[in-house]
Amino acid sequence: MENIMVKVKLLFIAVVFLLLISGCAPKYFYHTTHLSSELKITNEYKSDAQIDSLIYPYKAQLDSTMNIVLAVCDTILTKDKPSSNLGNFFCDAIKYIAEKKTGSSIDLAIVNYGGIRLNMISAGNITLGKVYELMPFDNQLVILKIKGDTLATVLDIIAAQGGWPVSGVNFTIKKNSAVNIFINNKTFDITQTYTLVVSDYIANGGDNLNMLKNIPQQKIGFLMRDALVDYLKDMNVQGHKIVANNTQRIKNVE
Amino acid sequence: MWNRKSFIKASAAAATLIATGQFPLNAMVSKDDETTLTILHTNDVHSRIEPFPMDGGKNQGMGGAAARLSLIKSIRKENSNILLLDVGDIWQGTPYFNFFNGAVEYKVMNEMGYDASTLGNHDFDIGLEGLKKHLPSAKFSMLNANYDFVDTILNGMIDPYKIFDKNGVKVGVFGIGIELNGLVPANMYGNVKYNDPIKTANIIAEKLKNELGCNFIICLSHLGFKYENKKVSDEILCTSTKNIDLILGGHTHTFFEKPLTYKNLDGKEVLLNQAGWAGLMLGRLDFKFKKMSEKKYFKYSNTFIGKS
Ligand SMILES: [Zn+2]
Repeated sequence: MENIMVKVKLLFIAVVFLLLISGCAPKYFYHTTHLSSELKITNEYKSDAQIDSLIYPYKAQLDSTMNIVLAVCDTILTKDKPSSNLGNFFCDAIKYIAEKKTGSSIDLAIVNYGGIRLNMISAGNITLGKVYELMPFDNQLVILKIKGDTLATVLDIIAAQGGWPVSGVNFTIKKNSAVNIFINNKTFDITQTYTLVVSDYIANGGDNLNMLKNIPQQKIGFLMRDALVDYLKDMNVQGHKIVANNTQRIKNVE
Repeated sequence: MWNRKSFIKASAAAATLIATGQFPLNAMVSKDDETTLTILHTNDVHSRIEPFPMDGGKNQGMGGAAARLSLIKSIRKENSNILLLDVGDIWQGTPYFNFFNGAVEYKVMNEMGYDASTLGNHDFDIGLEGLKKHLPSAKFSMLNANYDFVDTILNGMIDPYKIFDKNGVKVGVFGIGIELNGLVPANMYGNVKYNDPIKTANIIAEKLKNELGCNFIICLSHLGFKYENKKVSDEILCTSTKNIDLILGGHTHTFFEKPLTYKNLDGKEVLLNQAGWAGLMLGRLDFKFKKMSEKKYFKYSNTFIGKS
């Protein structure tokens, strides 16, 4: 591995004397020197036996279950705004499982940007442990029947935040609003009611989506994480690798 | 301890030297009169007990509790006058939290000798019961000043601030948390009342400085670095408060290459630093204090942990 890279920058050296007078008596003087250095440590600090022995029993227990391979990822998936292949994968998976569990079609899936907890998944084996890191929260899948006007408000909030992971919906962000909205390739109709799958965190108004709070929730008794696990297992059984879907479902106006 | 009388006397002497144009800088204070305090800090470690796996990812091999302790130990050899601090979101992010419910993270922090931490939003992820269960095992102080726990089962378990005597330097440390409503499910934080961070920080810092005579004041803030909208942030905290010397941030997972300097309400310098997330970086700031002066030399190094 690389050596220790030590970059020491003498950014600023200053000596300042400040005499503050209270009445006629000098109160204090002030004297500063700024010395700044920037150190990047590579593999020097590798391990510590004290910690290794503390975590060993826990690690052994986790390794026995968490290293199970669920599926194989063909390419690296990364999370980004306004749209990304990791976001597309995540939302396609929960939409697929929500449809499978309910036996009816779901129009769209939305996940809050902060709800996906890894910035990337490497190509290769996707283990159960990786899915826990991707979705550590014990959030449930919830299905909502959402009116067009409420959905428009939600999409505007997503647009104002620069885009969230979605499935089943495409739109353009223009001046912090969602425009050119298509639901399953059909022009969005504000008078229609749509079926939406989200986490209970979002359905309960999390990430300031208060407008969702009053919509009756259909719970399917399934964790988001378990949905990802089942989706990966299904893909594996069907002989599919996980491939990157690079469609820009949400894009910024040109 | 540095009392006010000797402080003024020494200052008067210094003033004379300056006035007459003869101030041999190093001769003015003897070695015994100065002390270096090293502040080490992490934030948003998110249950990263092990280093990132060797899977070709950007952070592969980086971080991990063992590497962090090894680094901390080497710094302790250099200088034993250390404060080791965390800025919250200790929990949530790897199966260590899902399967062992918070026990491992606190054990590891005890082992490293953390002095204090504050509460991040994810530290409420197993509810108030989870904190009630684990806080007694923490050998570090859990500090927060703007959450009111009076009507909860945590009443009396979380102090607003703590004063550390570090070689005669009185260091006041307090914690500030982010608004939980809309961020944390309501059933997780129950009757915790959120008080205004700016107002609270000003009240506590004033008390630490003027009533309790602290020489140096540190705020552990889980508000987040800055936002596009007007949402309260560390940047706003820096410029809307007084009496704070250093703010250590978190929540936004921001890797600071170097601490930022702001002017506070009094026009005085306040420093802000944040060490990314996941135990990938250890923030470090060194302050040199001299008996007769207000605040002294300062240097820093934010260090990435593990392989690059
Ligand atoms: Zn946080």
